[in-house]
Amino acid sequence: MKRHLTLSQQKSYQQFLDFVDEYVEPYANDWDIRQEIPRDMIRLCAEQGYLGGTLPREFHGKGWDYVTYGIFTEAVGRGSISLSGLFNVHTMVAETVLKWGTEEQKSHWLPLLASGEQVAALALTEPGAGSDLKMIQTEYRRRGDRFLLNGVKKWITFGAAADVLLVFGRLDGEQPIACLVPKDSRGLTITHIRDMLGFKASYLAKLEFDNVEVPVANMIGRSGFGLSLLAPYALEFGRISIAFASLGLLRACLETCGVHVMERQSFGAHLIEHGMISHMITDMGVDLEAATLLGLQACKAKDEHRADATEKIMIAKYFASRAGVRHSSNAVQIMGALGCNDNHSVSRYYRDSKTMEIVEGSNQIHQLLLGKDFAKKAKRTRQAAQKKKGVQQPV
Amino acid sequence: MTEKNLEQTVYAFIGEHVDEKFNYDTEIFEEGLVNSLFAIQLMTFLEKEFAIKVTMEDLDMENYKSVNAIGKFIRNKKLAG
Repeated sequence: MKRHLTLSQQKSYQQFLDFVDEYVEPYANDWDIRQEIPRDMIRLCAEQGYLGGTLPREFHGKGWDYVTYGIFTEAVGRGSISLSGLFNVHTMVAETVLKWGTEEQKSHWLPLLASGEQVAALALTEPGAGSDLKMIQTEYRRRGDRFLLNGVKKWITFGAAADVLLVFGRLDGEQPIACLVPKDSRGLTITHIRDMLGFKASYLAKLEFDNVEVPVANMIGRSGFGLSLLAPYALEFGRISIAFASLGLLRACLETCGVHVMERQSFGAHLIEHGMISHMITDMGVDLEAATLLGLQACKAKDEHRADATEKIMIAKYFASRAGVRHSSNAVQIMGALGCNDNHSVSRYYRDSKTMEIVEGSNQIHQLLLGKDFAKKAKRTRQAAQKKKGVQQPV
Repeated sequence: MTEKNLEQTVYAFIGEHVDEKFNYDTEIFEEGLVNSLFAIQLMTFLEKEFAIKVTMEDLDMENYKSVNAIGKFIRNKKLAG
């Protein structure tokens, strides 16, 4: 990773690695078993300024570029995928407010989000609406200067730990909107969902809104753009997070298994001398390198504010999350019985990796969009080449 | 960039993402020519290409419905500084 970074990014990356080595990795299995991250840990992240990493300095953020956000997420993902979920959802909300908030909203909310005084989560998914966002039924009804909010959100990452939630719904059952809703709003019931396959310590929650009063001033953006612009804008940051957290998970698999295969012996040789094992380690290393390059390419496109960043980010998320599943499965295989025990990190990598294929747009949605896009491009390239040669196009 | 070039540039960008034939007045979102991610790509393209910042005040579908509408929006945005 380091050789692809600027000197300043390398310095930041080393700080992130040191932080994770000291405060995250040694405790991650315990958090997983207890199914929660201690609030003191979240406070420590806030004190470090990590919750405001990407926010501009004028709002008390650190003003990171996206490459730096990516390598931060990689370092955290190496230690704990559950903790990486905190930065994922918080950053999605903060960036959405930064882009689509009014000046008053930005002045009020962004310093609170940057300092971590308010931890935010994104409430989009519902029991009947996951990948197909158009199915959301949560409803806002306007009553003077307030909305009345009714509906149910489910599987909300850090929903049980957040102070404020960006809740997507339909205004009068029609136009999609999104509002910031404080967790202590009357009529809001938050239930911590436990016993997930992965993301065990990510405070997943079910949110039930029963005539919750929300000031109209808390609406971010304008009516009608909630699903077409705000949600995709937020999810782009989510996909960067998942791509890099998966990258961290991949590195964790390689670092754990690499040591094991060099030390453990069977049939009179170190495991690495056995072709089948060597094959698995080779593929881990190659995919780690490929996922690193795809992730950095995506963040650089985002830093350069290029329109193709959207596609590059999807490619990075798709590749890294798929590689995570494949290689964490192989990591369990290499570690044997050790890897099947809850107290061993490899078992956690395996469970967490599957979740990464589902969140922030399932990989099937990525296949649907990317596959069509690649095919269309191929067809257009062919047509352009034929046109240049004067070949008649088939009807 | 000349007046004519602006629309041509926008048309060429949209053309990279659309297979169907369309003209400067075709309502690209209304007629379903683009997928759900295109709005973000279009916004990013307009911001970078024309050195503008699309903000909450600019959230009006009338601004983005067609090549001609986008051209008008960009010019107004530039005039407003």
